Amino acid sequence: MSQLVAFALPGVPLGCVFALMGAGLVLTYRASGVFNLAFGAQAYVSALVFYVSVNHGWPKWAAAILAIVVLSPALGLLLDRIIFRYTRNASQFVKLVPALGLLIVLPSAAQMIFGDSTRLSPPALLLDTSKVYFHFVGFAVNGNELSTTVITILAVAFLWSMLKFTKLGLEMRAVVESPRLAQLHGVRSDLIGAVAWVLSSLFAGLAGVLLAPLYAQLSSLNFTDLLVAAIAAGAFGSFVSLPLTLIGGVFLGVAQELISGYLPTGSTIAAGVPSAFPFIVLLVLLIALPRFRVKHEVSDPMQGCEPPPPCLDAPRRPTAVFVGSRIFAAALAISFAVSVLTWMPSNWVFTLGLGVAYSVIFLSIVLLTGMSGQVSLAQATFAGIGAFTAGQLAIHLGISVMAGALIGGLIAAGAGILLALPTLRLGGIALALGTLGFALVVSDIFFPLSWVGNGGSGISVPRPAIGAISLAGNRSFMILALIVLVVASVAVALIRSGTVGRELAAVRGSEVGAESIGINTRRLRILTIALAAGLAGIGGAIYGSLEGSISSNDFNYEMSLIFVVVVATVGVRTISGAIEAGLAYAVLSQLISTLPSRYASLLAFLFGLAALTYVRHPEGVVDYVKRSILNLSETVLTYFGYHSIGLRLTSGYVTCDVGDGNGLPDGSVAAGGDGLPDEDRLETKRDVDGGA
Amino acid sequence: MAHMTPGTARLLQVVNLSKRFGGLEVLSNVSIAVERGEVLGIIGPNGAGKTTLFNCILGVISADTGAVMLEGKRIDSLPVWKRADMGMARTFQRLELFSGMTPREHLLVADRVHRHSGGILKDLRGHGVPAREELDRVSDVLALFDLAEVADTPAEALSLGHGRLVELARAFILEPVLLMLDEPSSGLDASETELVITMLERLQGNGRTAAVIVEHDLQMVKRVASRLAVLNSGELIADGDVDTVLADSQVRQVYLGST
Repeated sequence: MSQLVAFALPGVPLGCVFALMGAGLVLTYRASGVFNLAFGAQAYVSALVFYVSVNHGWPKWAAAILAIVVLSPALGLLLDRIIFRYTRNASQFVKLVPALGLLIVLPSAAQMIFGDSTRLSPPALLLDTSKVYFHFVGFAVNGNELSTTVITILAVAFLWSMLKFTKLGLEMRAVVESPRLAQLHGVRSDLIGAVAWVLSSLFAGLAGVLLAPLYAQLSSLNFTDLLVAAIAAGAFGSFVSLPLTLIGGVFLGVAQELISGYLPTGSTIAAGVPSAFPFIVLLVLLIALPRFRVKHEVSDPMQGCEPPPPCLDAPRRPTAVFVGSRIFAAALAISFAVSVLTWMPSNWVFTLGLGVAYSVIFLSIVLLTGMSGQVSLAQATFAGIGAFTAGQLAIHLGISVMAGALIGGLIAAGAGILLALPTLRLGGIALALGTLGFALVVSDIFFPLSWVGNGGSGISVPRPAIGAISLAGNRSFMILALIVLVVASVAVALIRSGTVGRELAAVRGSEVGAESIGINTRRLRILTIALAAGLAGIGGAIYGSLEGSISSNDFNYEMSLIFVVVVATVGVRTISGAIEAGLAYAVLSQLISTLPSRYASLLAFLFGLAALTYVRHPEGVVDYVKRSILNLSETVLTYFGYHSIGLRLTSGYVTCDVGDGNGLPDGSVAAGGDGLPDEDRLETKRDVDGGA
Repeated sequence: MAHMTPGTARLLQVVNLSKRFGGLEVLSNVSIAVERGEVLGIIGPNGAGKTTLFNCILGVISADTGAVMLEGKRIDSLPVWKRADMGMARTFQRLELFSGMTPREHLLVADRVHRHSGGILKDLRGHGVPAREELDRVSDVLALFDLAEVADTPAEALSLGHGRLVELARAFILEPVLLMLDEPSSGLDASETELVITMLERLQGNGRTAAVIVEHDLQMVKRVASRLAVLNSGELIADGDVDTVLADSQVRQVYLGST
């Protein structure tokens, strides 16, 4: 019994840390509608600023004011102004992408600004970190534990009463439900949204400075890893209830300490289970709690008046431009193939080969997210399953990597189905979080096993051979990789233009409507997830075979986040988007690896930054540029009197012209008038008060 | 195409359906039947339980007790898509169009789902693109519903009237045995309502299809319905011939507001 208490008690302050971060998530979610996965990253930035200013000799109170009261809210205000004010009326995925981008951008930006030196023993703001203040049931309570516990409880109580009892809290909740309706009731949605961001960022800053001393070293990983536990804590309260988040957080902390206390030390399982524990709890909660079974996002009665996303460039092209761009693309593809097979240096062929492998993996994201509208944060995990399968089969059974890749794809598809069955009931954000949980459990527990990925040392994956022809060389392997990419692209294109593609488009357009005509949405979703997982698995096997040796770090959950961000940025709705994203990612990684180590995260920073544009350009930056060129040429042609092409461009496809914003054009209140849509579209969803 | 079951089984039979939301009894012991070729109008004041009944029949929500039978087979535990596959088509009060898709694409996807003529393997073999006869069939239906002009306009850009017609056409191309219409005339102008009525009459003309209409516009109901059912506070208070029901004193009291 005393041992139980001794194991459990240190879990309370730890659980309070989870709860504090979880409360931050719940606060941002309820006050701004954004599932702010970057909350931990915001906390880290503020902790870093506090650390650096104290190290420069600033008094603690001044450093705290700078970090918590000035910088953090300013950052929040900035984020709201440049990004999140445009997401207020947007879907959960549109809100998720910039948050993922921020999660990547903030730590890498901080690293580039402040350098990547190791920062030991972060200073404590309030109580002396290690001084023991009193004993509780034989447990020595030090300053850290005391301050974390007390401040968490106070903060949760404060936020809870603010949301529940104040006019501001009520208005925040109203703005999240329907910004336009709130405006019509005289609430300044835009202002309230900005206040929500300032407030939650202030809270992130406070959390960051308070939590930093808990760790021996100030590192962004400590904060982003907390994210998982924070999400799990939030899930206890269905991302709505702050008190339940607190209880959930404490439960998680205590349970995690108990598990580490009783598990035998030294085994791979013992290393993986405690860190994956919050994820497992999260998965169970997502599946078990009835609240997450709601299929549809809370429907905003005013959503019918949102402008649709901009159409892609391709459907608008006049025939001449269309044929021309096809010829250009074909010429580019042929010269690419010829180049990598003839004159290009072998190391660059290798890099582009990685790009081709990434492209195959990214195609799975186009299939899943671009076509079916589902978000998986586990595509790197599926790629890893494919790669490790191919590697282990080649090592132990001598099976060719090509056959291994297919088997790996099948196993990944099977894993996808296993993941899909329980999580399918979850809509929007819950599905994304469920896949994130899956990704962490697999990469923390399964990939390190010796018969899978053999921990950090990894396994080797040979290059395949076709009969007597060895594909060991970079060039010969490239032929294989290109064939796989072409086959995969054609398959995705056929699916998109065929029955399944049209059914997916219908489900994305209206799930209720799709079911009403007899589409089995559940089966369709399982099919898509399995296809995407299989495709990612094959791409992963190609990647592994090209790299030669792979470890679990190649396929951890951060990679999945980066993948989604990269594809969303470049173009999640087109097949060419996946290929462009894959090649760009590989080439830029290669270029950046030649820079000083301080800039190691520059690539992540750039793509993260670009992801912030996703809100305004969900079609991807590449398509945006293409369309801009088309618009420009249209203007020029019209100027010189060639009206025919100009007319062709603007006729028919009305959606093209409402393109650029997802929210109110200038964020002003409805009285400004320009946010109001045309009457007809407003009518389509407005007529809700008629029936019983 | 859903086959007709010979024999005496009624097309749709709802037996003793009850549904509570928390403490509120929305439907209590409602029994109702629809024969082939008939149009049943359901009326009642707001909050009477019309939409709940509608949703229970379609499988959007499941009733607490009672049974729903289509052509003699119990369907209460079947999911929405399965019931649609058995020949129940519907329209929505708040439009549920496939945003981003044109009316033509709406009909193409519905037609293929109805005929079970597509699949991932066919797609991968390149047989996924619409065939000539599919396009022809869809064009015919578009013309029938006077939608040819807007056939390639994205759903978001359609007027409410056109949107309703697209939903009706989408239901029509499924060749339903039972058509469920949720306030089909709400928000429509006189000529659009007229078009909806014409369509209903045409659908009914084949003698195979029955329709259930929830509607507030009594003039419209009178013109299309062959029978009328009145719900009030979750109870069926009248069910029968249109004129008889409208003359019923209880109906006049709770719904028509005169004695």
